[in-house]
Amino acid sequence: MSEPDPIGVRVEALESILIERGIIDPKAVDTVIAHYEKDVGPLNGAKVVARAWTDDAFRERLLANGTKAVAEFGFGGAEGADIRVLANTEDVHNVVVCTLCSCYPWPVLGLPPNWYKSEAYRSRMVAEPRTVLAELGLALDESVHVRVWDSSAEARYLVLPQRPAGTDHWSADELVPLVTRDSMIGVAKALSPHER
Amino acid sequence: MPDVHDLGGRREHFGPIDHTSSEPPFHADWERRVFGMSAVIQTLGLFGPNFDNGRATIEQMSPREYAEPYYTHWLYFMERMLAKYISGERKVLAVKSAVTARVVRVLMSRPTLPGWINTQVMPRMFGSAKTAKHQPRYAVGDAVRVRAERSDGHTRQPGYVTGRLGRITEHRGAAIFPDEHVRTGSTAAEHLYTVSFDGIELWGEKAEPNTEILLELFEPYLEPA
Repeated sequence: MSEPDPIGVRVEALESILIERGIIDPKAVDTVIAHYEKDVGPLNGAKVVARAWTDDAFRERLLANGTKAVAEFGFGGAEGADIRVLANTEDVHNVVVCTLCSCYPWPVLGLPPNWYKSEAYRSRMVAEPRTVLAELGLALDESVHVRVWDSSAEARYLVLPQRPAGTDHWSADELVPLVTRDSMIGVAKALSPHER
Repeated sequence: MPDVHDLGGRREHFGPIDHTSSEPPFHADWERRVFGMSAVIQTLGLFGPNFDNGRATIEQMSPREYAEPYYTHWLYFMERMLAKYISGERKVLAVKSAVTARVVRVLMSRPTLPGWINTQVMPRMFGSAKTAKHQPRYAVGDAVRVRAERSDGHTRQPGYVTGRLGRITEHRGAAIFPDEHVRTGSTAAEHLYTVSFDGIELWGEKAEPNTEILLELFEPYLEPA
């Protein structure tokens, strides 16, 4: 028999005590896990971005108040109390990090990937963003102004990537698959039609 | 003050980034349980009105502990909060577990919710925004210097901007001030500003050209420049 995983044992012990003390109901834990595995992920953000690309009035609302605008889709909740949307342009590229912990806009992107929470990403992105972006496959021209947003307090940032060229007559539904998680963190551009 | 978590610009942590273009939300069953338990506790505010105490607890981890898989941070927090509850040092909001299950079922079991829940109810449950009792001291465009000292305990004033010169780009309202919230339990609000820093101001000659770093800072962290 293999040794029990010591972390697993700690987690089981914790849950047993929380249940015994009447603090949590394990069924509520199951419900939350299923919600974040099924319902909440970067597809939510992709729908929001695709709508912003095809509906100027919505884009304005989104940039004015992210939380209200994403609520039009029914999205919201934990880590979404103050969603702030940052629009990329030809001249300005926005990218998001949390140097102090792991702040991330869950309602539109889901739970953050491990690399976003890694010590390397958190330490480097504020200090050498161009080097990090190039390593991740996004080489920016020196003329492009880079804005790094460190989620240090209330705002949770969502990057609105530029709409890819060659998609002029595409509907929002057709555009959704071009909007990747990385493009909404700001470490990539949205996919172009031939990359889909 | 603890700094195990305060990583911005810390060269000893620089290294390759193990990037994936997509990954599942959880990598092991214990991560599921830790996330689920913590989310239930947060949703009901059982260990406090926001995650300030959680962050403050995680910041007590040793560098070796902090380097363990991410969700062990949350496990560490819950173990220590539970110990304080059992010892009587801390009270847990008296909500029956059946009630928590019902609230969670309503708020976290469907892909979408009515707009008013997401704009009126959820931000109050999960955010820390609150009206401040005084007028904002700074306006957009003001030059400010981040104070040279930091709070002894928990703070959201990162080391890499400490003592540095920036400019206010936005007044972001006010929110519960984490430093005092953790130190004394006070939920008084302070004004919050987006402050912009030029890369050169933060990193000197090592700075990359044409880069700017922006973050939200609470008013007590700032001094007129």
